[in-house]
Amino acid sequence: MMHESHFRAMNTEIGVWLWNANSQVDRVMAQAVHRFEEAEAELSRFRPDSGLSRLNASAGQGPQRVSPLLWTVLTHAVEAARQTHGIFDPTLLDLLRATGYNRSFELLGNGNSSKTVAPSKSPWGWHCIRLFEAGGLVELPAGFGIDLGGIAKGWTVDHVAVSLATHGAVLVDAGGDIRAIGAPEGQPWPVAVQDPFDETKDRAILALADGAVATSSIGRRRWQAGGKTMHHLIDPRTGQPSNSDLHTVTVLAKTAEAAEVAAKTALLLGTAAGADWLAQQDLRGLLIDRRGQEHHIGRLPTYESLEMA
Amino acid sequence: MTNTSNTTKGSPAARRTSKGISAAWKSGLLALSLTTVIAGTAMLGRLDSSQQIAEQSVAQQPAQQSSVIQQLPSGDLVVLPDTSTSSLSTTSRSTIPTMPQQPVFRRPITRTRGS
Repeated sequence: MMHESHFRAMNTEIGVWLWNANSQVDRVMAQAVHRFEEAEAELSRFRPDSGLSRLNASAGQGPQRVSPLLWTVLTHAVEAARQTHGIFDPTLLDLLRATGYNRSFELLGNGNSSKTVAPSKSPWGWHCIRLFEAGGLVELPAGFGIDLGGIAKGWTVDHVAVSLATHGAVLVDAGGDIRAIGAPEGQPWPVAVQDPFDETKDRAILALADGAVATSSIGRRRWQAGGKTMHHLIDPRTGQPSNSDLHTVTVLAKTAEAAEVAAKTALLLGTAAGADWLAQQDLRGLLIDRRGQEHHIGRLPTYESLEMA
Repeated sequence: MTNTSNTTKGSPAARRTSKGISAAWKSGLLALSLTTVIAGTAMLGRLDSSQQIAEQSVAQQPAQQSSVIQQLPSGDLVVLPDTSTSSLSTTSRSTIPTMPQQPVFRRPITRTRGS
């Protein structure tokens, strides 16, 4: 039997589906909620009391001890930056704030701001993060700030999915960062690929089993600031919102964290370089450019028999 | 003249010895046949008894219950006992009943969303 739970955490909608659970399903679902809340409390840049906010506030004050949870996600973020040659960069916090993304998107809404966007004077660059493994210490240079947004969400999705997998086949979805472990009755989980230009329609239905999918898009989290349309995907090569020719990138990977990082990297790189990079990483994906044209990387596992929206 | 015909076919003592050996062979053969018949009968009796025990054992086993999956209007799947096969005798049930494979999903469970 399928059990599902829906709740809100990390500023997004969370869905958890569990197949063939035992009688402890309520306790298991409560555990999932707790793990998301725990991650948000420690990893959110919008909560002034989070471990991440305390670390950002201590930039320029020498090495700081951080919690094991923050240490883990931070080291994953630095490793992702290394693997993408800095296209994925967790040190763009001040640039995001400068573009007007200075509070959670729920509070930001789609409203207009007449405030002029001033260019950030703060430095950025992932290689300036200093990690001291002995003691779990982290040092940020003065002016630096870290945003773990996407990778923190992906990591938490993986963490919750793995912890629930002992109770049955599971799928966890946090605002489009999706991880599946196992397949109910051997049938892969059907996940629709939303049309980024018409949210009432789907482009395909993925058949997901023991894997993850994540999507990066400039079509969401957009706002007006200083008379310009802004979005949250900052290109670390320019310090500005991405002007890549891609609109939306969906990537399949082994983990939600890897899919999240790869989708963002491919989008920033653009169609040609993004497709090459995904192929080099042996990843499959669907790239949709600003004209709505699809570019398939590898063969996507899809359902042909289910009805699309 | 006196003809004495003397047909000699062995001495009386030798003839007696030969008859004794022949009787011993016959007795031995008879005893062996009798023993074989008795042992065979006993063995057949034991086999018959084992067969009865085995049949009783099968008859005492509870009837194996099969089940089917049904989908509720809400979309949930439930497992119910299959009443259409529960009246079959146990001796005719030689295979494990197979579960009908129904699609778990009829529509996408969630959608990708850009983040």
